Amino acid sequence: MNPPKTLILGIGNAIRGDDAIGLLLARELAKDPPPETTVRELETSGFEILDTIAGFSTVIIIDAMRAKKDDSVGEVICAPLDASHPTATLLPSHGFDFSQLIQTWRRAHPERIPADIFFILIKAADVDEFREGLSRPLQMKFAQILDDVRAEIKNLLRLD
Amino acid sequence: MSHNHSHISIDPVTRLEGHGKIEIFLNAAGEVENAYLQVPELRGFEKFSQGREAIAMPEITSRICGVCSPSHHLASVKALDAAFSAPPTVPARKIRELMYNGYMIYDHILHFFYLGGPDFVVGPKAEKGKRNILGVIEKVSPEFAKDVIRHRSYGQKIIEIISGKPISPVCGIPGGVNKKLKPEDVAEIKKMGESSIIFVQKTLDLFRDLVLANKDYLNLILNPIYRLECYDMSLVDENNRFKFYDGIIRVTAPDGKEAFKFPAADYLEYIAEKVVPWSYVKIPYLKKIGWKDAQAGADSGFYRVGPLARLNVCDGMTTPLAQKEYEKYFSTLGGKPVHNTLAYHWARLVELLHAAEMVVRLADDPDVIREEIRQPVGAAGEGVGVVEAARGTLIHHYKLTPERLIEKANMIVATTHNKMPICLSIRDAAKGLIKGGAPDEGTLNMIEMAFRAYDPCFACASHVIEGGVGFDIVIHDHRGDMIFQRSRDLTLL
Repeated sequence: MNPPKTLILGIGNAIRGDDAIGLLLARELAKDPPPETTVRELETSGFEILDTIAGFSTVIIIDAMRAKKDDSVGEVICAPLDASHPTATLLPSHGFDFSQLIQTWRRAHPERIPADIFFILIKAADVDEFREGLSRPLQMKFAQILDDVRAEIKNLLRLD
Repeated sequence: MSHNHSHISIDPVTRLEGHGKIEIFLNAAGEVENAYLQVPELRGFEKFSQGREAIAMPEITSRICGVCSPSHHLASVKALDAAFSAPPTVPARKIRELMYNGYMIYDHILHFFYLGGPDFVVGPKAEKGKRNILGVIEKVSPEFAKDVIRHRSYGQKIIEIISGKPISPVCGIPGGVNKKLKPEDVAEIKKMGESSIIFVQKTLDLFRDLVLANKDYLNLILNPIYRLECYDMSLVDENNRFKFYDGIIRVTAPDGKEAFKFPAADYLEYIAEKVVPWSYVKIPYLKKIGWKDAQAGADSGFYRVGPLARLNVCDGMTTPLAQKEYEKYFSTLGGKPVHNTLAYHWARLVELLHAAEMVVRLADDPDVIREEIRQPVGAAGEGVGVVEAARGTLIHHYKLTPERLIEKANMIVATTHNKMPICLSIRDAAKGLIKGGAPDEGTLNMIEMAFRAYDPCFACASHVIEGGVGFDIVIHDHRGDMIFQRSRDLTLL
């Protein structure tokens, strides 16, 4: 049997407060993964993401983003990777623009880069302090966020 | 905001880890008066560490930054070596050093090709959309891109072989390492090191052809607006030679002469930190020289760390090819010390060559496959661990309770050492480039180049997807008066 060609990748930093949300969601998803998917956690970004996603046909990356307003904490946003908009403010591993990285790799190793890459982003409250565990607002909404993320994945993968 | 000031913002600072923002303040005549770099710095390391088991710190701190994790890991484990009076065995020290040079390979490749290099390889005033790695590939060749990707991955593979993980390594333990190396592992590492030497030499050829052979670029490197005369700090070995992993801290003055030399454990006698109203992090300076507000020079205690500082501080390299390149570097740039900020890029390549040579040298060393990889630890005490991270000197300092818990912790990262020099470099570049009115995109990029050379790493944890940023930026003048405040309002997607 061939391994699943879809990867769900939770990324984040476990000691940077709400930045851990991607890791924690991946951990929960791994307990009951969507059909024909592989679920992984990754505590870094940039090139290491490329190493991790290489060989899959579809990738869904789950990560935190800063909430603009307090009342939006926990909101879930889903978006495809789009080379046409700047992602320097996305996944800023030393400022790498993720879409540039993907394009670079497509030129060097076209066979290894997934055809479809999506982001599921969770608006986070506190990411500027060394801390283990989510902020209270995100903790309170975690179950709902997990449901929302599952729904987004189901929609992206057209699972019924 | 003060009525006689106006400001220009460059936001976001592209190709910088985290999310930076430069604020440039103009006077009524439209000339640059001052400049600041604002970033969301991580806070709370001491509080976070208190009460934790000391033995867990090397693993925890390796997760501070997804890119610099080997530096934090080894600075932390070295602090515990000292705190437990358990210096590593010879094989363990060499294994750690081997891993560390692997880290330098991948990190310096990343910076040169992805962050700093595009400014030169593609051109400082090139179209914005081309000043990136894709522009570099276009200028060089897709085949070379494959080489870049392959050799970056070699650096990471070396870490994985030694520590079991390509990122956030966990091989170091107080008094040694937790895993022996097998001869076949070492043979694989050596091959990667040999290939890396050839790759770096090609990269240096590229740098010579595209940058040094271009009179305009060379003049740019030597342009006074990118020159900052200040102290330099780095680790050196017992002969004052270049060293990444350990040694004594040496500080040289703006004239290149040795100012101080001290063991890592004495750093608090030499380095003080001052709170300033415009930054969350305290600004370090040389205590014995003193603080001079926003000034460089011999009378001001600000100092730089990182590749440019390391080459200034040391009396030479310990590997032959890097030594030759070190000599070319100084002869081309007018001799020691080099204070030209843009020379950081070339210095980084000299270090990259050294790292590749060190991988081969250490892989050839029979000590790295010996059995004695750890020794028992003593009673818990206090310890300081210092390494030269890719971006400069990294200090971890722990005080332990008798129960081996962290009672007190301090950390100074490279970019914190460089914080004031970065601000001064931005200010001076802006002063030289902005002459009234709104600068064009190329000019703004040339201002960014003044800090990008430092390879700054502010957030020390690098993977929050940053969209709308909902915090205020407040800036004060040198008198402590607030002169600027606004909420950042960027839109994601």
